[in-house]
Amino acid sequence: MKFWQKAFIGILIVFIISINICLYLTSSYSFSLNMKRDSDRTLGEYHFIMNGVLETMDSIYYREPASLTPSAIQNIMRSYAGYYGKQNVFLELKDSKKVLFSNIPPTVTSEIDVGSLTKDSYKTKVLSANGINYLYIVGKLGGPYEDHTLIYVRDLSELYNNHSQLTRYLISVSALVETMLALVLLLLLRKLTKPIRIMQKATHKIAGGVYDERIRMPGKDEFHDLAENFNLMANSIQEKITELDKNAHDKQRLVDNLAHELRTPLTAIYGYAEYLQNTNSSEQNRIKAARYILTETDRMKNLAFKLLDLALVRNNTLDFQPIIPLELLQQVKSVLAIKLEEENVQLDISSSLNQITGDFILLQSLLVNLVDNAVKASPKASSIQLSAYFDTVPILEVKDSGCGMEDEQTALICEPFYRVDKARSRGSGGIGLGLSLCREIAHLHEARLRIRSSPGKGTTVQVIFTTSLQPSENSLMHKDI
Amino acid sequence: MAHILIVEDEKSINDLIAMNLELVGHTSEQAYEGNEALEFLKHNTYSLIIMDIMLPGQDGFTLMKHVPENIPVIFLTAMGNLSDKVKGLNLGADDYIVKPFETIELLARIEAVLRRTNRSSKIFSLDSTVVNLESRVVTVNDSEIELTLREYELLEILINNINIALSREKLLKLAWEYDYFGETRTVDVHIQKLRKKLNWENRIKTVYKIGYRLEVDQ
Repeated sequence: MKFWQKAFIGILIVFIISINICLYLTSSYSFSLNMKRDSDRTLGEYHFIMNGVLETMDSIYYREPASLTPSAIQNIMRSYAGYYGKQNVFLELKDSKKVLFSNIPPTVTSEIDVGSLTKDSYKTKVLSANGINYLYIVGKLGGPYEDHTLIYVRDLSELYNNHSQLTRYLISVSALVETMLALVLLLLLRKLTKPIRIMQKATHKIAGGVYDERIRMPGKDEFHDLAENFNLMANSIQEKITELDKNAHDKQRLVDNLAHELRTPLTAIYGYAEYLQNTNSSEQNRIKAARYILTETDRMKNLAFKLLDLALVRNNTLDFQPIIPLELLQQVKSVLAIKLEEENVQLDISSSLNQITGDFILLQSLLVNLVDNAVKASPKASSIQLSAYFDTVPILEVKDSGCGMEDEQTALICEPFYRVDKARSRGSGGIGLGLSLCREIAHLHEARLRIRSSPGKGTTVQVIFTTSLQPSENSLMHKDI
Repeated sequence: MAHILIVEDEKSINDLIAMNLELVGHTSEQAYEGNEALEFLKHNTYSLIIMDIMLPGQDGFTLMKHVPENIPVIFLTAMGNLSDKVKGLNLGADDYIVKPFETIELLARIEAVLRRTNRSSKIFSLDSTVVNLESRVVTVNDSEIELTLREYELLEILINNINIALSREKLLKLAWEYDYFGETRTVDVHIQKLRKKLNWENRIKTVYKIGYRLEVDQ
C-alpha cells in the first residue's frame, strides 16, 4: 500500500471514531438532560395530582364521611385521569391490593412493582412495554389514606422519539461531514505526497540508466532539500558513470588499436615467410622479403617492450627520492648521445632547480621519450632545449623548433597508438606509445603534461609538478647553472 | 593478365601483395595513401582495386565513392567487425578480407572476383597444353584430354597459384574441399596423373619437404 493511502486510511479512521464518539456523548448527554427535566416535571405533576386527590377526598370526608365511597373516589380519579389522559398520563389508585381506579393499559400494569413503600416516600422507574417506554411513579397517598397507593404512569414515547430523531440527524450529519473530510483529506494528502511521487519517478529513471535525470522541486521544505541532495548525488553518479564509460571506451580503443598494430606486422611477416618458402623467386626479391621480415619483427619487439614498460609503470611501486635535476638532464643527454649525433641535433640543458622529488628511472624514461620525439620532429642541425625551472611550481621542459603540430593533433597526441605522421614514425620504428607512457609517468608523479605546438614553429612539452611532494620555492637556486 | 591497383599505407603489406601478384602473372600499381590513389584512378583504369580502409588522406570508405562503378574492389583491412564488413559491402565492395590473411586466400579471392566480373583470362596455355577455364576443356596438342573432377580442380588450383608452392595438405583442403586426414599420397597420385596427361613433367615441380609448384617463366 502506498504511503498516502496508509496515511489517508489511518487519519480517516481516527477522525471517524473520534467524531462519532463526540456525537454519541453529546446525544446521550442531551438525552439524559431531557430525561431529568421530564422526570422533574413529572414528579411535580405527581405531587400536584396527589395533593389534589388528597384534598378532594379530605373535603368530601369532612363534609360527609359516609359519602366517601369507592365510586366517589373513582369519580375524583376519573376527572383527573380525564384531564391528564390528554397528556399521555395514566393514573391508578389502590387501596391495599384492591384497585379503586385505573386507566393504565393492562400491559403496563403487570410490569409495575409496588414493593414496600413507607409513608410519604415514592419510587420512580422507567419501564418499557410493547416497545414503548413509560416513566412510573409509585407513592402512598398519605394522611388518613395511608393504605392508598397512587400510581402515575407517563408515556415517554415523545422523549424517545425526539432522541432517536436527534440521533438520526446526527448520524446523517456525521456521514456528510466524514465524506467531505475524506475528500479534502484525499486531495490534501495527494498534494502533500506529490514530491515523493516526483522523486520516486526520478529514482526509477536513474535506476533504469537515465543518469541525466534531475528533480525540480519548488519550495523551501525538507523535500526541497532532499531533492537538492538527490540532484547532487545524481550528478556525482553521472560523473562516475561517464568516467567509467570513458575508461571502458579508452580500454576498448587501446585493445582495437593494439590488435591493428599487431595484425599488420603479423600479416607482413607471415606473408613474406610464405613467399620465401613457396616461391622460386629472384635473389633480389628474397632479400627484400627477408628485410621486411626483419623490420616487422623489430617493430613487434618495440611494441612488446613499450607495452611492457607501460604495464610496469602502471604497476610499479614508486621509488621516490630527492633528485638533482641537473644530474637527471645530463643522464638523459648521455642516453640519447648516439641518436643526437646521428641526427646531428644539438641538445642544450639548463637547470635552475636544485632538487625535485621523484623516481629517477621513470623521470629519465619520460624525458628520453620526450626528447626522442623532439629529435624526430626536428630538422638536421637544429637544437632542442631541455630545462628544469621554477614557475610557481617545478617544471621540466622540452622545447624543439621542429615541424610542430595542428591543434587537433595536439589534443590526440597522448592517445595510445596515435601518430602524427604515420609513415615517418613507422620508418623510424615508432609505435605511438611514447607519449602514453610519458602521461602515465607524469600521473604517477602527480604532474601533468602541457603540450603547446604550432605548425612549422616547433613544440614545447612541459611536465608541470603540482604536488606537495616537491620542495617549496625557498629551496630554489637563484642562479642558473 | 589483370592490372591491379593496390592502395595500402603499410609499405610492407603493399609490397607483399605486389610481389605475389607478380608471381601469378598480374601487373600492379601501388598507392600508399588516399589522395595518391585518387590520382591513379583519374589517369588509369584497372581490372581490380585492393584497398585498405584506414588510410592517411582519404579513408577507404570515402575513396570508394570515387571508384568507377565497373571496377571491382576488395577491401583489405584490420577492422574485422561485422558492421565494418557490412558497411564495406554495402558501399559496393566485391569482397572483404581481414588482416592477417594468407597469400593463397588473397589470390583465390582475387581470382574469384576477377572471374565473377569476367575479367580473368579464360584461356591458360603453357607449352602445348591449353586449359579453357570457362568450358573446362583441356587440350594437349589440340587433342582433348579426359580429366576426372578432382584432377581438374587440382589443375585449376595450380593455375591460380602459379609459381607458388602448395603443400599437400593445402591442396587436399582446396581441391577436395575438406580436411582429408592421413592420405596425402592421394595428392601425389593425382599430381602424377596430371603430369602425365598434360606433358607437364617439368612444369609441376616437386618442392622438397613442401609440396608442388606449377612453374611458369616470368
